[in-house]
Amino acid sequence: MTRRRESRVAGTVVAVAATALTVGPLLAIGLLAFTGPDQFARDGLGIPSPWTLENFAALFADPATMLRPLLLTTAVAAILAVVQTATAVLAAYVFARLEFRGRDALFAVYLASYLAPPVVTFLPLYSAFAAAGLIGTFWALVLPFALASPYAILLLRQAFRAIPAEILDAAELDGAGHATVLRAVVVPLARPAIATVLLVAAVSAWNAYLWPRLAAGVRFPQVQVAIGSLQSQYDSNWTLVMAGTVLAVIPPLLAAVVVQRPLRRALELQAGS
Amino acid sequence: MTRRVGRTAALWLAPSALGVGLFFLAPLAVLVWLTTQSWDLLAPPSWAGAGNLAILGDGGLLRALLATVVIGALALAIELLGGFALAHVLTSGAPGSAVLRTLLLLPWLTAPLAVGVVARWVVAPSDGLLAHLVGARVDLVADPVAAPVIVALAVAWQGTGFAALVYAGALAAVPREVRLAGSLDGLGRWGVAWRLDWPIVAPTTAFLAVVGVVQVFGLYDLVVPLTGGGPDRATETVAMHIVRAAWERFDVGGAAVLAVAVVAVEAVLVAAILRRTAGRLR
Repeated sequence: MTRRRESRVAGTVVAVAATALTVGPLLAIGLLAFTGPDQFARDGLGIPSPWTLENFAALFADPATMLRPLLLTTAVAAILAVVQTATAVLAAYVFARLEFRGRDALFAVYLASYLAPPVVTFLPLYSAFAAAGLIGTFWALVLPFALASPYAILLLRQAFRAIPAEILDAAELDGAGHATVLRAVVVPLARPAIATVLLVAAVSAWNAYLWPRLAAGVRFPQVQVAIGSLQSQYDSNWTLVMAGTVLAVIPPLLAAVVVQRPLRRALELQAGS
Repeated sequence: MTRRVGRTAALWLAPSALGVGLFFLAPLAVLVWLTTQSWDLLAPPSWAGAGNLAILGDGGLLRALLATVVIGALALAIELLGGFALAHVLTSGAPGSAVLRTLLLLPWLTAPLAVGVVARWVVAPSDGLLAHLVGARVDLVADPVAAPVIVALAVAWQGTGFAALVYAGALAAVPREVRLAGSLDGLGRWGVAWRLDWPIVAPTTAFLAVVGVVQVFGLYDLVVPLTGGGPDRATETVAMHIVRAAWERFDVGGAAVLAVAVVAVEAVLVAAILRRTAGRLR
């Protein structure tokens, strides 16, 4: 009996600590973003008094600082999310449902592209894009990632395989071709997984830093590149930097709260992969 | 029938296969070619033969590998043990665990660069959070022992919630009878967790370990604002080492050699993890 209570207390302690550690830093950025630089110099972290928008006003005084990176990143993330998800749905259906020679070997190649550290391909990609005169263009940001997202394909393949074969076989017996089966049966049943893939694709594009900096850093800075240069430029102006960081962090978190259920489900399913 | 399957497969795989071919396989081939070239990103590349291999002898790669492994091992230990413990809390149905599940998603979705920026503010020597709390200058990022630990803590902040959610999925699949049998045999709650659950979720641990290795070998964004690789390269990861060779010293051939070496080391590590779990399962 006491043992039971002890373990419950331990559980609560772990839960409270985890919550504080998770939320604390995010809360701190939020507070600092609305704190004036004078109060920051005096108190460090505290409740803003008064709450001020001057950090944000400073960020938006020149549209090149944050506004343009935010708009650009929104466009890149939207394009990549839609195209990656579309190609991933098609590929995942093939890998999950169709049998042909070399299928597993091909899937292994897809997986390998997920395992290699990105910087390894960035080096030759940069060379190729430089040779083609594409460095410093919008296309350099989008092209390398548009066609295939191995992570998305892996996740969708798993979701498609979880659909009972009888349902799909029945649809095929009714004379439905693969296109019809995919559109009318698989996609509606896998909607949570597809929502997850859309979110993860958009968030990865939004959070990207190294390739966007190398490929188009000065002319087309994405939002993380903008934050990086903000921090190195205004090293001790923390309230300004945190206002920028809030803008860079909030959109993915909001999107995640909207689709949290399918996202959590997808993570829990990964255990079985 | 088979013909139709073949046509659908080819047609539907075309876009993604083109992507993998053009933006993964072809770059790998170019990378291998680059290892033989002398190139500064400006003048046309010229043949260097085996000359680029000299970069492997300057000790820089070994140092970067060491820093990467230290940061990765520490972060992964926290992520796996912390995640496993948290997963038990999540699956116990304690009040508030549903909210906690949502909160745990947030660090995973936060940009690594932003995590590095916030961590930098925490440890900033004169105006950071720690310095304010202590009331004096604290220069942890200038300390060659503390700096990698701080980087590892920031990495673990991002990964522990993710690990907890994945573990929670695995734990939910552990049959009730297994735990019941364990407690009838006199195992306490920790005993059940450690002696029964932990071995059962070994495949999940392997999956998380592979993801962790992949991540730490790509670790770059978070380190840039936090330590910049310092002090004296104590936190210069392999990814940062390669980026610097190519885009700061403009030694593309040397950077390509480093990249090939790093891929080889990572492949050996991943294979070792997978083989270990496969062996244990059989």
